[in-house]
Amino acid sequence: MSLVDLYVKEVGQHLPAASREDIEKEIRTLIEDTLDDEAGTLGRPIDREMTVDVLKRLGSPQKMAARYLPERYLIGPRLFPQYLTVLKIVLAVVSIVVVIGLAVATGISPDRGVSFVEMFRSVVTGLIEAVFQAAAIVTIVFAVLEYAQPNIKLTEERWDPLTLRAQTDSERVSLVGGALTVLFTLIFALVLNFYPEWMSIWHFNDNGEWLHTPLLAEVFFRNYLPFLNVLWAAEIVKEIVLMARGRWIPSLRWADVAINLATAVLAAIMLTGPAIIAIDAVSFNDMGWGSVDASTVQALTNGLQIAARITIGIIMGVSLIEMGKGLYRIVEERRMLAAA
Amino acid sequence: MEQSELVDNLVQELRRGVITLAVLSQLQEAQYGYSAMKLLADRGLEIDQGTLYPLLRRLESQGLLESTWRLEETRPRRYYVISERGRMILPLLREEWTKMIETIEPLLMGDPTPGEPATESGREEDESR
Repeated sequence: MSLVDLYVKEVGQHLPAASREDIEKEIRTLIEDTLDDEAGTLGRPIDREMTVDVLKRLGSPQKMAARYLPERYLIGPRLFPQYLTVLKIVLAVVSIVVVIGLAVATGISPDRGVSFVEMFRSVVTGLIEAVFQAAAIVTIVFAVLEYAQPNIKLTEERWDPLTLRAQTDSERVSLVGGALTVLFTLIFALVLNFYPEWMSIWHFNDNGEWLHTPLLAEVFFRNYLPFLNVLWAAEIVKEIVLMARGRWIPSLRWADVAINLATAVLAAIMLTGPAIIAIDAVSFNDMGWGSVDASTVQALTNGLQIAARITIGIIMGVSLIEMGKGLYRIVEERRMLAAA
Repeated sequence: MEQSELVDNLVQELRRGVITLAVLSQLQEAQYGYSAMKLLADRGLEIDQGTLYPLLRRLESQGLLESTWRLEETRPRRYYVISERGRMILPLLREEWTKMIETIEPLLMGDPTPGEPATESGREEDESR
């Protein structure tokens, strides 16, 4: 294989398949034309030295191929500042939560032989893992947004300075807020679906082995999680579309109302259904925290069940309020549109 | 960034748009990549091959040039020529170029048009676009 063949083939390696053959063919003839001309000028036949010289002037195959390709970004300059902001917030939150969580979990029974070094090691490895996962999720979310950017451009082309006054605060969309919603929804969904053991109380047994007692009951995962997954997926899609559009539009408002309504209904079902906290007197005693009397255990487990129901109640209340706000804004925005 | 590197980058930015204009103006008759480069070089505009060839394709994908493969001397060559759309757009670009020179030259010479500060006319240019 000649040097020119090798060069052309190498350029082709860095080009998309659809245009590869055509560009390869073109570059080959261009190199051959240059070589012919060079040979004519120098008055000697084409040789290796001449070929090397011509290829050097063309530049490395990677550089040559890059010139044929449009600039592409995983996250472009437009979204990059928001990406950095979100990344910093998420990494800070994740770091704090993980460090505190792991330190508490590891140090919970210091008399059972966990040295400081051991605790430090587990906190550091846990932190590194969590930080990488969080950073990956942030990056994926923004890459999806970057991909959805044609929509952002469309709204920008129609942008008119006069709309600045008409656009109310309620219509405005915060990219950072939206990205954080998507991220924390994703992280929460991933934990419950793939790492349910994280929602546990960790402890040692008498043999010094790590054990975890699930916080959430089987019924939660079986009866409610599939519906929650659908709601979270809908929420994520809504937020991404919202960020891509850059402002609230009626269809997104209705989607938001529907998600809030569904959340409130699901919360109501969970409130009237069986207990979702798995901790009871038996599992509490299994944790081996020793000398707690039966009535205290009973009070603690009851307290946990009540706290869970209060949380669900709050979620239901907030969803209903948000739904009401959404409906109010639909009416309000329609009225404003009619007035304009 | 080294000063020479910075200057190189700035010069490249300056040249980028100008090269497009130059290429469009010289492709009234069909040329293949190498002949186009020679033609421009003969007229004093040196463009390296790695810049010119991808540019020809990009202009074609924008509909400003058309291309056809022709077999010559046992070698197939892709010939580029200005398209109908390119012919319509070229005079508009030429006009912009002339305006730009008229605006920028006095700025560089420190010699604004009498009675009209250079910055003002520059701003008007920007706003009208």
